[in-house]
Amino acid sequence: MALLDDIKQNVEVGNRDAVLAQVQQALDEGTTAQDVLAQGLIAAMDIVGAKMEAEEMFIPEVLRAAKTMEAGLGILRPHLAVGDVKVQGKVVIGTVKGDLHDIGKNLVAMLLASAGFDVVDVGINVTPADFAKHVKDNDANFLGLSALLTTTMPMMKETLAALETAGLRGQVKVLVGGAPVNQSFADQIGADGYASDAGAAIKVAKELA
Amino acid sequence: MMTSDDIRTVHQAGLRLLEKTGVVFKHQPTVDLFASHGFEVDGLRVFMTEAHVEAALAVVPSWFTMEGRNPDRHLTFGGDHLVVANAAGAAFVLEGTDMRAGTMADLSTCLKLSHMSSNVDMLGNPILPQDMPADEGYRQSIHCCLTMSDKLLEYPIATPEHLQVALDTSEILYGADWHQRSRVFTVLNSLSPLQFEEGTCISALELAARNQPICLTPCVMGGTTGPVTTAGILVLQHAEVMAGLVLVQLVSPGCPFVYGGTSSISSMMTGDMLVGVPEYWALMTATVEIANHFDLPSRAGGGLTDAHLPDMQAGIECAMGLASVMRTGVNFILHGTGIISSFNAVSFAKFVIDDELVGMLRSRLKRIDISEETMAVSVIEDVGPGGNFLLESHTYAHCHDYDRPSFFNRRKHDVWLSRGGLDIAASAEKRAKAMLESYVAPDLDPLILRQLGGYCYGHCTVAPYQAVEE
Repeated sequence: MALLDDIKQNVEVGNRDAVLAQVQQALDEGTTAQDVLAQGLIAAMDIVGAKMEAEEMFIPEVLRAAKTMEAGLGILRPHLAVGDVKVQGKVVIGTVKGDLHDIGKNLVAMLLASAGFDVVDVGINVTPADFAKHVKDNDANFLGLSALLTTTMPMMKETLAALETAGLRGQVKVLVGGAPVNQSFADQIGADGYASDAGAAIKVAKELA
Repeated sequence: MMTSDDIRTVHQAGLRLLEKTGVVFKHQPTVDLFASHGFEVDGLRVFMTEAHVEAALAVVPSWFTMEGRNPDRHLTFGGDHLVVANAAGAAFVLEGTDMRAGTMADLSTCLKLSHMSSNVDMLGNPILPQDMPADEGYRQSIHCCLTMSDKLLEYPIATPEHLQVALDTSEILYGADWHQRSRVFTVLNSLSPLQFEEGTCISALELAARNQPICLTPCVMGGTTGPVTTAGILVLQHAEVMAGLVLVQLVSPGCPFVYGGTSSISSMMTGDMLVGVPEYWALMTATVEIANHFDLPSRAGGGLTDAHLPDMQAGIECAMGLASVMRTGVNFILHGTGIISSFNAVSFAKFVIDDELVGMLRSRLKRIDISEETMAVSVIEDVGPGGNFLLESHTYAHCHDYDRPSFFNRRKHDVWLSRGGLDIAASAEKRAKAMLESYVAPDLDPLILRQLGGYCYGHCTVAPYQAVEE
């Protein structure tokens, strides 16, 4: 359908005003909200994800597409039933204790949300005990840990230990990332997943979902 | 190259940010200090005027001298002086293509190389050891830095606990009056954009109160923690350095201060900061030019690369990174040797390659000495057209002038091949091994050594890493 294709293309290029108008138009013309979501918004983000992975789209472009998708979803939401939006998983995400850097973490949170995860961002400088509490309170099945500094990276290990102590380790997949983190560090501390950048993080999370 | 007009324009733009947008200091006593001096304050946000900045610039010294435990190794920052320090704060060690967690033993290796190097003037704490708990690792690392070499240390101070270790160990080394001279040198980072975290504020207040030098170094990442454009990065960096300068001079007028910067662009594909790129070299050059303009000691650049091998990419990027700032007259280079994979890892092979590179650049920067003796006109006249110079006493007298020992190849292909045909990384590993074998720990008063050991190891649960025997 030409209108859904237009929506898809406008999400991809981040044309918010056009998407808002066209999503409304599609609903007015009788297209179901599920179809607009699946064939318009989600289809667009699938293309965006692929283009990001192929290094054809840059982060600011991806973010604008994600924000545009969210805006379109805002119009659809009243027309969607609870089961219409498939939730990939519930993610608690934050930056570890001692580290105040949040840009990478925010980026991953935004992209996870646009990829269909229910994301709870618990902020920066989060202690191991608080991470465990947030996982429990939110009944999360994913935990994303971020660190930019080589000095705060060891706090990831302590956060995993806190989950263990709280008896929560079995219920969450722990994903780690940040400039100094690598796969062998992730393996060494017993994390379930590592990604080198935000695009890869979404892929890893989807694989583990 | 920036013109004076460019610099004034960037300065004015930075002042506008300080005056209109302000800077957040996440430490109430710091904000209270500003308020008590009549600065406009809103919550934790402090606004500064051009007059505040001018007042700070009027009292900050243009140079200062750090005094360590060996008088031959005192270091002057400012003027024509250049101080090069090794890699600092890496979590990993890169060997071949393998990246592994850094250990106390790696820290020791790095410090030995730094101590033996004739081009490294100062120590950075090169590796954050991951084979022991963070708090104990810090004290043990500092112990290694203070005992394995008598070169001055850039104390890594990220928390009030670290600060206390710096103050306590200085008292052990230099006595109760240690702060009568510049002894503790540290690099403090702003938290871009336009913030100073609590630990940074506390360190700045405490160190400035003791008149110890502070090297304020923003690390703005273009497109993420700063504007995407290099000019925008420069303005933000400048505003943050000026904010730090104003704070330090408020606490202690005349306190030594270094204008630092290690800001760069980020990859808009991945968000990663890039250090092996022309934009970084241009930004670092500009950082030094701005510091020079205000007659402040400067810190910028380093032997930085985005490569993951001590290969040709690493060589190109390090040479450009170091040459850019050295040609502009930088006063302090951190990460001068051994850092690889951006800021994440240390490579021992790259350490000695960088060491060689720094030495070559220092030679390159010397002016060609023009004199009767060196122009040798009378020698050329004596030899005349068609002769040779090998037997001249002038040649005999000067034949060692440019003889610098080097492990870089200067021999023909067949000779090189007969000696193993090694590439630069393999030659560097051999060179590193030789440096380590010839390492001898510097002398230290046994009483001080015992006190340092007691302080750094006293409460350890993990067996001390005995780098230097008592």
